[in-house]
Amino acid sequence: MKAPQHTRILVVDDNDASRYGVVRHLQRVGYEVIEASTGDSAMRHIEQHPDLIVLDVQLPDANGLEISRAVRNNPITSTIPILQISATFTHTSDKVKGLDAGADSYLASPVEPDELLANVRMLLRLRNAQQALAESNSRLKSVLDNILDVYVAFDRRWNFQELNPMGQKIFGRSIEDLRGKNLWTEFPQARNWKYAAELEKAAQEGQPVHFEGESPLRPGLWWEGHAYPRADRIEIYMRDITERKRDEIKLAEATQALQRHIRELEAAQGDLSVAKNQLSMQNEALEARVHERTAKLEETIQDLETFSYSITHDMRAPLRAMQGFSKLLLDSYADKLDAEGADFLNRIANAANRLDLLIRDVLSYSNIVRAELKPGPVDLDALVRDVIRDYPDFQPPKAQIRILGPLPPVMGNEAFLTQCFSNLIGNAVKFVRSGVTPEVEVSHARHGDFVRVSIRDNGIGIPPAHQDGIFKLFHRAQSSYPGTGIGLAVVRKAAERMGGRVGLESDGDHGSTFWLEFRAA
Amino acid sequence: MRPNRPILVVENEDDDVLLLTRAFKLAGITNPVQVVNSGEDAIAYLGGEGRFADRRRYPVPALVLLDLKLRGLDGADVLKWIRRQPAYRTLPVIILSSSFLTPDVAEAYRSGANSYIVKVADPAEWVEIARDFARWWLNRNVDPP
Repeated sequence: MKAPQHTRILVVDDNDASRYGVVRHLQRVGYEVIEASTGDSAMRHIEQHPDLIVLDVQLPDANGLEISRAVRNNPITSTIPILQISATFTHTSDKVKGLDAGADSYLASPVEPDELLANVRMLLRLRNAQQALAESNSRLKSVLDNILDVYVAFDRRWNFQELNPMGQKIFGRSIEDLRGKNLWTEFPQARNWKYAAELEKAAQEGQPVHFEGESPLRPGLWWEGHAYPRADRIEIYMRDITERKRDEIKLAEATQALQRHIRELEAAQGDLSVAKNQLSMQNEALEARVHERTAKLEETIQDLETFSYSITHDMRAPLRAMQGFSKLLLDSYADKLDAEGADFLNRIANAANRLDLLIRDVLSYSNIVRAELKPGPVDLDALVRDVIRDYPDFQPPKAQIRILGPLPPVMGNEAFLTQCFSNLIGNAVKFVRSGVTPEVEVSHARHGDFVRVSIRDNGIGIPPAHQDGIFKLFHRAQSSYPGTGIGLAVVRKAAERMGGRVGLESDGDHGSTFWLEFRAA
Repeated sequence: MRPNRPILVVENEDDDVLLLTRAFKLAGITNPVQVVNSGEDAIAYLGGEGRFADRRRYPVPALVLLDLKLRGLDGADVLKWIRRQPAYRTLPVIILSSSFLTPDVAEAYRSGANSYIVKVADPAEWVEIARDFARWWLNRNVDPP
């Protein structure tokens, strides 16, 4: 409510005294007052929109009742409250006439100041409430006019009452055209709408309804709506959800496509799983075959080794016979043989000797390959000194052998180690230029966990071209020196089986250094 | 050992038998020598089976010279059999083998051999071996009771 100070009240009375009284009462509490003493000037002031009119019924140039009517009939002024005062027309029937003509309140003059002010306040309150309502309505209308939703109101018989601009656009007709007309008659296609029956039911039962579907008026458009039955009308708000529907359809399609893909993927995974299983089964089968073949192969190798071992061994008896009896012939029948005959027999004996040496080497090699190892700590110093002591060819003056010891103990097998060192020292002593006394130096060094024993000789050396293949079976670098070519292969095999290594250094001219490496004990 | 105590030779190579018996002769060994050519025959001889039951013709030996590589049952098996017989637990058995390989030597000793000799090809060396054999085993060595 406006403060009294900002409220303008028009007082219309040709009687100065009574007008003055009213004016003073009003001014005293702060109202702004405009006076008029004729109907004519009253009408002019009314055009200025006072907040309230205090109006005397009897005026010189007009009837107060007619002024009331005029105020009421003019839409611009129709909301201005009118308080009618009369000194003369005080009967009830006069009051009735006055109120009917448009007065909002009727008082008899002279008025009690309190009663006057109370009425003024009451009328102003009413007016403010009306204004607030009007403002509210206008805001509401503005909202309804501007929203993109359709707002349509029907009475209980489905006659159009309200239709906002969006609704007019959708229905295709103006509210002025449609107001009062029946929905089902104006739009027969709406009867087929699936929600029509629900709406009817909702209207009868007074329950709100929510609906969603394709518009019967505009196929292709989708609407979502709420219908609110009220006491005397049904209000419906509708929203265009075509795009949302399209998006929903797209989403559903995309989801379906995705699900299809997922199913395809799962099928593919299933296939992959099956393939993996098959692969793993095939692998197992393959591995089983490999195991079987390997076992067969190992069996065959065993058989071959056993066979070659026993056959080689069996060869030695006939050889012994050849060697022995040719020697007996030479010894016992020397007088019956000429030089040539003796020579032939010698050749037979020598050939048999050579074959026997070869067989012995092959048997040695075979033994190294097959024999059970049982490695343990070995006193290498004692072993090497024993080897040197056991072979007359290793003693002075046949050879000079020096040991830079003591040689440390190593992990290995005594028999194998004896073979290695006797072979290598034997080679060192054998392969010297004629007339040269073999000089051999045995030294040792530590390489981490391993002990390396080096055997250096002053022999003929080994040309670099031969060094790669020298440890191979049957390789012979020097055919002018006796030997089967197996010795070094035996050394390498024995070293490897003991977890060690053998190697050589030689420039081809100034002797060689063979080395053996074993784990320190 | 008294000169009449028999020696059993188990050897399947005729050539080796020839060289051995020649060497024995040249070394002056006069003990009777019985030769069998297989492990089965060796066991039959020692057990007095079949034709070997006639102990006058086939007397129980005082010493056995045993080759390892025989046809059929090999020397190591014969040796093991010998040592299982209560009567022959202490019978001197000398292995006479062409094998110089450690595993064969070790196996022979483990099975109860008293000595191990590697066969040679040179007939003269055979004679030397025979002489050494006579000196040590026939003359010096004290027989098991």
